[in-house]
Amino acid sequence: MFTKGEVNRAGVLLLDLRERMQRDGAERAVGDSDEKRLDEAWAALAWWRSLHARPLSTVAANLRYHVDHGDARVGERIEVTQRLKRLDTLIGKLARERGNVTQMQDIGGVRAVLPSQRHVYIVRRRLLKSWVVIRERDYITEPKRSGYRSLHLIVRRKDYPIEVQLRTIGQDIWANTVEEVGRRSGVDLKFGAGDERFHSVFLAMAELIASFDRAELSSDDLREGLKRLPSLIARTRA
Amino acid sequence: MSPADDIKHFLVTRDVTRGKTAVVELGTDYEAAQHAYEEAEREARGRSHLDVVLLSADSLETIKRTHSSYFDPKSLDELLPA
Repeated sequence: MFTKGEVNRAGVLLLDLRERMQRDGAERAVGDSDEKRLDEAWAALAWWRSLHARPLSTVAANLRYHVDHGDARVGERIEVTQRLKRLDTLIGKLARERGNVTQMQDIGGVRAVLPSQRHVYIVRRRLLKSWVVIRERDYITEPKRSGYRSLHLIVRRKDYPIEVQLRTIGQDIWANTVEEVGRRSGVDLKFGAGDERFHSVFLAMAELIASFDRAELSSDDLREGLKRLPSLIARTRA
Repeated sequence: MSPADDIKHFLVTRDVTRGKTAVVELGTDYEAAQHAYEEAEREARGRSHLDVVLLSADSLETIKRTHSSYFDPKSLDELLPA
């Protein structure tokens, strides 16, 4: 058991270590630190995360129910996955946003992949009726600058916030592609870092998928469009 | 409603340098799965090429779909309706 203050101080300590590792190298930064304090800070964050596990499972089970009853299965499958945030990613987020660990709203997250944009809004309507939604971000209507599209809801369950992401198949493939390319190239493309060339291509890909999701493009047209992306890369380079 | 105890937990480790993913199925006990997660994260500390995450769903197939970036991503072509 830790207090919220201890959890937040653990976040500050591990963030400081991360920054020193980036500056001075891992060996020196860890060598200079008190290992016992680091282990305890790590344990405090893991404990705080573990408190989200049960609320997360309840929200995910409930979401599976609504996907099923909203006829939003992909084929016969209910595509819902829950995840507890990695502590490394959590500290990375602290570095970007400088908030408190105990105020983070996506430590427990659940994602549903749905057949179409229409299904995203059908499931959303069902969720708004049965859940306490404390925040909604509709990145389908207002995409992020990177081209990211998805509907995010933060719901509260037993005092803990849980993030719910509703995506179409195309939006999901786009986001996973960006994440994997970012990971391979060592650049956080999701957060707007990286080469302009990548961004133009991913933006074009996101626009094509969005037209398909709005039923303005057939799957054949989308395939054709995606095939033309390499020439678009060449044009961006020129 | 699918009960939460039907949900299986998977420890997924992506080796970014080698482009390989290892999956350990941890069964349906969430608490035990979280212990394994913490242990794996501890081991991966300072090894930035390892991306470890605990994902839970009705099957590994679902996880491969919703978190395809951890696996060898399928192309859009393979997933779109014909």
